[in-house]
Amino acid sequence: MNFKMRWQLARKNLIANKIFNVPFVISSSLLLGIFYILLSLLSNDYVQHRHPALPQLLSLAAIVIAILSVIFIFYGNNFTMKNRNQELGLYGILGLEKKHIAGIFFLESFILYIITFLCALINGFILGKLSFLTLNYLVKDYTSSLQNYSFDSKAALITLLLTTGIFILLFIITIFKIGLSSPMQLFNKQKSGEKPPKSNKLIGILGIILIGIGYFLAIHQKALPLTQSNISLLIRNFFIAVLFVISGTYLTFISGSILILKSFQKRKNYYYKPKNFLFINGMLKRMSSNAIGLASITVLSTGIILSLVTPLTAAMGLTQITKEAMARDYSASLHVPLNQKIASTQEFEKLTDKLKQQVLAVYPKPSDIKNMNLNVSTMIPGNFKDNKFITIDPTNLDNISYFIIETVDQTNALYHDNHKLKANEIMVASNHISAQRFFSKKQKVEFMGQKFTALPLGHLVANQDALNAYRIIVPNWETLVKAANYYNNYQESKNDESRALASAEISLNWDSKLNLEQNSHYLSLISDHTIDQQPIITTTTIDIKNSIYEMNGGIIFIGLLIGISLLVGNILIIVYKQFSEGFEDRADFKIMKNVGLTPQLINQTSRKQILWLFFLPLIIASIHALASSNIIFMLLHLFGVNDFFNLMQNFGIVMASFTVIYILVFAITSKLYVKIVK
Amino acid sequence: MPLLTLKNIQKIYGSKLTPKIEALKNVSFTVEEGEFIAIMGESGSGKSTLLNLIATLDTPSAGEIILNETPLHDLKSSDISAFRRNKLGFVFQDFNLLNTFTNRDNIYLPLVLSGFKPNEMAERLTKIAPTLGITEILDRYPYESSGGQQQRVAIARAIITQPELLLADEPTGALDSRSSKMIMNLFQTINQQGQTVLMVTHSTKAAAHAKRVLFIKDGIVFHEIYKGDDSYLTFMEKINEMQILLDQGGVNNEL
Repeated sequence: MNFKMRWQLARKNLIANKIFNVPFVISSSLLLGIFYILLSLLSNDYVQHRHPALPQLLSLAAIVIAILSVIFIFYGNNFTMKNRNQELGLYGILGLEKKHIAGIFFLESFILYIITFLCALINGFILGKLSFLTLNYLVKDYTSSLQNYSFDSKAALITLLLTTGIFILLFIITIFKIGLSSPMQLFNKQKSGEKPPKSNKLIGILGIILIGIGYFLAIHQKALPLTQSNISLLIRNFFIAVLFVISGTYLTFISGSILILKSFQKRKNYYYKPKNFLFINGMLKRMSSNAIGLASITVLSTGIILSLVTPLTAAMGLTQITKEAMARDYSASLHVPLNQKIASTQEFEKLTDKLKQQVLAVYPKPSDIKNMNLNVSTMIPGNFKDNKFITIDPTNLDNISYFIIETVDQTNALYHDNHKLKANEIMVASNHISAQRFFSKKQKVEFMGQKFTALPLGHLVANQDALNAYRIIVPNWETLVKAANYYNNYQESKNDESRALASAEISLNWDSKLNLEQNSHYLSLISDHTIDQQPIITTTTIDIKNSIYEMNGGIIFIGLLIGISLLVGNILIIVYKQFSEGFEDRADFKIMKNVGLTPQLINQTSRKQILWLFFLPLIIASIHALASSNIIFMLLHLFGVNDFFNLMQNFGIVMASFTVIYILVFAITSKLYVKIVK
Repeated sequence: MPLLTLKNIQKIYGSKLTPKIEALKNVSFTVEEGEFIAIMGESGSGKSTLLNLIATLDTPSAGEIILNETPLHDLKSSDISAFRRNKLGFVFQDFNLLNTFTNRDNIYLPLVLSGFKPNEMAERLTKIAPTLGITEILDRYPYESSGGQQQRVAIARAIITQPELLLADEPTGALDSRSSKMIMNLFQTINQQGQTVLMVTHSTKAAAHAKRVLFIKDGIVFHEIYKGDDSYLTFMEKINEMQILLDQGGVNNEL
């Protein structure tokens, strides 16, 4: 058998099997393309000099994508090979030796390998430019342009190595299969898929129990005080819940679904109705041959939803917190002991005026400064228990909380709000989840030992201020001083002299249209001065903000890439599943027609089955995702997300867009299915 | 009035673009109630085409088929499935059982489609199951049953609707000789119970179980012979002789 002949056979086979090969090449080249993108970004100079956390995140993502690529490509190849068993058997019967068959398959694999790799590079390069721009947009860097991203030969080489490795493995597996079986075995293997549904009650029940435990763990996860050990506990709980739900999903699809359907068969008056009869038997057949595929689609869909929602919400939360906590770019602040002298509003105003004059004095023009506002706050340790704000117990410093006390005037100025507080009213927000839930409604509380009404505060508490902080807005400066000293008064000594005075931070914040360099110069001029022997401390938040935005952008970007990879794998599985069902259904439809089923009824029931099979994974994935929302919220809390509604909103957006894509894929693959059946 | 009448049936395959093939030229015969007829002929003689036409799976190019006073070409396409289900029973060479249904559900399938109640179906099945010897395997799957068993399940599915006509297409074609004999004896028993049977076969052994044998060659009915009082073996010899004659093209008494 010469090369020309082999080449022609290989070429013909590739074309004859294009229904399998085209989706295979598209999906594997997309996955490998994404792998290339991550690698090329990783070694990109520009990216490397950005946020130090970015390369680390990107390399982690590259490993995940590589693993996913291997899994999906093997799945696709396995599916193609299963449908080619008969062809293989035929070669044997026609007298081709195994080495000839291996030769043909080598050529086929080689052509596929070259095409896949080239497509992966093209995909990678074009999508890479696109993702580079996206990444830059997400990290709020508008200065970089396409020139900063060029073809990366090192990334291409690593992608080539991965592709080569995968295809060599695939080829070895194929050769192994050819070598082991006789032509007749291969010939008959293709039909052996149709076995009557078998189920094991124990496995089915176990599956449902496992999902139940996973859900229980996820839903009953309580908000924990934020400590390092609690964080790792939370992450551990999350992974345990995920493992339970994944294994439960597989077992339930494999066995539970058949148990449920069989229980319908026992209700004879329901079962022996034409539509139910065909539907239940059809579902049994599909479930028994597609359970693993369906479970995989469900798990992947859940993964897609979570891998998009979580980073999106985390980044949004971080951005919002950053905006709230660092509402202005520059600030000058004074540390003020809250003694008797300063307790009156007049004295306070005198002091703030001095600070304001000092700042205005260094800038050449008043118009260089905009959005100036005054922020006064004091941070005192304290506890909130049984609706009472109490002083801490100095003998027990575990579970300590902090009160950040501000006046309503400054809050109004900062956020352009117009709140008015009566003498016995305060507004409260907390970064502790259960407390935040408590204070999202009007509450009666005890504050400074007196009855107060606590109104909800629409603005959040930044996690970076303190773990477990309460932001308390009081009606006026006098109350602030009183409250600060009240809660600072936890020392046991009754002696006035020995008590440390509480102190507050008065800071003047502003934005400026001058650039960072000029502003830094003016800030240093301001910090040369003192007011009442207190130094003026100046800061800029621009650097911190930028680094947070970069981090956020990186997180969203990686979530997007992983989400897209899972989506590609998911689509691949759906496409192959529709194919295999099309082939299986073709024979049965003929029999049913002969027995006297109307074509309408056949079409109707098969459409109903396909719809069910199609939407079942989507529905279960959505339930999984929603069941996870509580523990996800607890995890996101680490990133400063305090708003459950925000998370649910993102769930809604992601699930809606995912459903649209899912329906599109369904519409396209259904057409292929109809083609196969007819 | 005969149960089934075929008048000048013609069937031509092909379109304007492809060469026309005349599968059936001019076929006429009648079937009386309670008959057991075997249609014999070689591959390509048109016997399967004939069966498909009677089975309403295909329509003749010319001529008329009347089953129990219903002209088949008058049937609306929406009624054809119900007609096939209620008036006709089918037995196929390769059984055509659905592997994912239990044997019982395979048998129930046509009844379920006609809206029978579970207890009515069970009643009917209890009547026929012992004759067919399938009582023990009802709750197994076709996959777990032998070829002979599967064909008996298929026969049960065909006769449970109490059809006016039972059609069989090479029912022993995929079976060994022992199972074949058992299946043919079953057809005889069913026929003795009053079921009209029309069978297509090229097996002399199978055809010898019928009461009348029609020979088809080149799209026409060439000849027919009746069993009458002949023994099984005598009838089989007669059929054999007739086939040899047909092969030599020596019979001229067309019908």
